[in-house]
Amino acid sequence: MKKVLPLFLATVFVFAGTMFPAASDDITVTGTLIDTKCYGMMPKANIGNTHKLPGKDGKMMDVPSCATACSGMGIPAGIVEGGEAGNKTYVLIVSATALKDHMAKEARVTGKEVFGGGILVAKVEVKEDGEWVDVTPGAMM
Amino acid sequence: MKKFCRGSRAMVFIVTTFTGMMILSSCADGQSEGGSEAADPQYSVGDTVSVAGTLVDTRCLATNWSNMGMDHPDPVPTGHTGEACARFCAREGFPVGLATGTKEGSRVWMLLSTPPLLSDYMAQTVRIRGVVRSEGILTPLRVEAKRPDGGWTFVI
Repeated sequence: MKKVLPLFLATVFVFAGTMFPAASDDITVTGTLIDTKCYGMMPKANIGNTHKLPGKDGKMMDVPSCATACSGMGIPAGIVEGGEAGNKTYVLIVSATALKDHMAKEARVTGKEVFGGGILVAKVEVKEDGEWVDVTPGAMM
Repeated sequence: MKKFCRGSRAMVFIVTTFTGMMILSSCADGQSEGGSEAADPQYSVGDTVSVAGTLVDTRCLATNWSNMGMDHPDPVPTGHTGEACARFCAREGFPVGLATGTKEGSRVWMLLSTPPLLSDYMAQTVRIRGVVRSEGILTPLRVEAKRPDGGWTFVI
């Protein structure tokens, strides 16, 4: 009986551990703020605020302030880790319109990683004149 | 000695039964939500996929899975009215998602589209054809909402 009891308790603990995984902690990602839709189509060309899109003649044309316009329409904002096209990208769960004036800026986002590719935003900071400035959107309701 | 043996056997029986029940239970969970690792299809970046599910407000759902419908029992920020919260959040520009199951932990695709365009279809069943951008992120090419008569209405 004494030999079997520890085995039983160990089994219970092992399964209890798998049933209740640890809550995910906040992460902080530093990179560049992007308009996720245009960036998704052509990451290298559309990581800035001016985007390349096909014109009427089929040739690529520059669209100034495209990221600002897209996020102003509500297309989700994102952050590219490290600011290099092709790196891990997160969609920010925040009102995109509130970040439209900060597109293509260097940013630092803190929040909870959810759904595999999103960050439930707790804090957004952008670098302006070498300083981190808190631009976290306020409560929208 | 006999008593000890009987006790040991009983304990081994309990441990085996408990372990078996736990394994069966975890398998059943995976099947019911349709999102177990074994059953859930694996996608690669750039794949064009067709998925169906419910349109959800990712902001409130990420906080509490009970916020899956149109009205939210636990809206963000706490204390605000949760009536038609999903529509409100989509109109405010919070990303819209597609939950492929109703059970907590089901796969949620975050949609790279304009949330206000989907705001009138929140909490409805939709089917989406789109391109996988990265894990959990989808650019919709076509979104259709299910009608009460079983047909599909083109949304975007």
